[in-house]
Amino acid sequence: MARENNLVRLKRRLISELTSLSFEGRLLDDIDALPYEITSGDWETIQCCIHHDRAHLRLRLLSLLGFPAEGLSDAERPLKAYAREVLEGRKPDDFPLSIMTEACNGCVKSRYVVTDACQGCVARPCKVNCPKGAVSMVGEKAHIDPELCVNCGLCERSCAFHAIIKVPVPCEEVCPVGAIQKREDGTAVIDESKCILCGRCMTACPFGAPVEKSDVVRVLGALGEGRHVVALVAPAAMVQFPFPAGKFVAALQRFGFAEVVEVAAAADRVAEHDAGELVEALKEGRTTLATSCCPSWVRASEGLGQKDVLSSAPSPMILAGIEAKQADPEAFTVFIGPCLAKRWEARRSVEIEGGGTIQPIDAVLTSEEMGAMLMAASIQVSEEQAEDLARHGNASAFGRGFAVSEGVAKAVVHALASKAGDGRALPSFSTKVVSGITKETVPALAKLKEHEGNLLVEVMACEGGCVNGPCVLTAGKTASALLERYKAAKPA
Amino acid sequence: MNQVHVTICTGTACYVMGGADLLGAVDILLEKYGGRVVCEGSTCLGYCKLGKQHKAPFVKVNDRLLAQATVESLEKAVEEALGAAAGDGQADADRSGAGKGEGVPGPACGEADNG
Repeated sequence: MARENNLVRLKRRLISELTSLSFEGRLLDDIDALPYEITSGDWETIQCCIHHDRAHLRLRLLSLLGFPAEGLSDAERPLKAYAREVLEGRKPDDFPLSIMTEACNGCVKSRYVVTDACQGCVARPCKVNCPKGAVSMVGEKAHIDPELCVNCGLCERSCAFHAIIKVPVPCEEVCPVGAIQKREDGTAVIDESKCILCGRCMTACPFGAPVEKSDVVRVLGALGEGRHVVALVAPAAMVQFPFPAGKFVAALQRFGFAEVVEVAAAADRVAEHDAGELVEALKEGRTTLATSCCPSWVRASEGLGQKDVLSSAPSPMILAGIEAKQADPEAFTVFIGPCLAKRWEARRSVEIEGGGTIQPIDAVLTSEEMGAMLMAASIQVSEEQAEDLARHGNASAFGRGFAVSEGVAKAVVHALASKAGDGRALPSFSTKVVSGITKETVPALAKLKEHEGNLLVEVMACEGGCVNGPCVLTAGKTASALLERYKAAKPA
Repeated sequence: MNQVHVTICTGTACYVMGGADLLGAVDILLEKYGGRVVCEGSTCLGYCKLGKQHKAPFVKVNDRLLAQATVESLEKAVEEALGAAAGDGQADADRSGAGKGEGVPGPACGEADNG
């Protein structure tokens, strides 16, 4: 989604400034001065005063360092101390989202309000129709008592002047699973057990209160230490700049990544796995198989009691990470994608064949973060000599298609068709594509198991697929068009 | 017929700071003004290198430079430029309310206007 606004700009600027400080070797010395530097000059005050703005900037930097930005309790502790902890190998939090309570507006509980357009009419349908007696006349205008109002909306619908409006609480409005809770004072709290990390609250909140706990500084630290840092790039992240994907790969190499790998190549293998599992599942009498590449969906499936329909395939990210670690156990693997939930998925270690566990992914950068980091390094994607993608994974058009809705289902069906070439009989099944986990689609998702007949279900939390993720640089529509070019890219 | 030339910088800083959304504005401009507006993307115009990365994205409408350009300020600037082209060439005299575009000194066009 296109999200041109001041918060987006501010966040990208902060990431860029942190990157510059790190490149110049001044991160620890100068990070505490950043809130002052940024608010000097022609800064337009946002809150009540510049001091408040600086306190907010400090909290935003704290979340970019990977810490929760919930309170102000440690206001005395310099950012330098936090940054040092990160550079010294602090284990990142498992849950990658926090609410910056200081920034939360504590949006009002009562969502229906009477505006100045109220004419104080004779009919007073708002008052007559209210089932809770919440509407009374104060002076010549209607008034809704927030304590009595149950948000049924009858008053709004009955007013001939459209004088009653619904004031939404943006985060609650978009949360598909009811994970936003409110404190007494109205500030939001995320119920981590319910949250599926779709990131909708983050993009919906005009106060920028929900913030990610970023890995930016951890990645900069690994690069600074001269580690063998491998970038694993999601197909959706390959199409965030309006230039060929090969140029983006070259830009990442210039930035300092020792290797850049198309995660779409691992997606090809995941589609194979899913196809094989579908055949087996249907043989065993399991009639529904759901894709498991979207981590938000994986989280949601648990709460909706659908976990057992998920394919056991690892996600393309995890598989690419395992392959990178097997090639070089000392590698520092960084997944780059437009997704918030991948950061949660990346925190888990996995068992590998032959015993033992590994941590396939060491850090996750969002497309937005990567863009801001390239900006800090003054790397022009357009001017790079395009790398030959055949040397970075050589993924098929099907693997690259994982970035859009229907893409995964198509890849699985394609993989099945090639299995049919082995002379095996194909089971008959129908496919269902769920494009976006929203309040509207959740009820059907909770009933997947009840479906009659054989079913392959593809679920993506974001409408249209990963190209419409919460941490993109480019509008989903543009990125989808760019994806077609990426899918068609032939070896140079 | 006078045409208005819109040059949208697609250098990394401009693209990341909002230029991605401006590309979407191109369709709006073409639909609204047809052949009277010529839009082109450009490699880095160099304005961000003046320590003004946070003033990106930069867009040029004829010779006028817009900083922190938005779809809104771009449309407004194009409208003004079209009005000027149709008028008597006194466009430069009236540049009040240039939208959200904010002026910064650029390497190519000397002094830009203040929005």
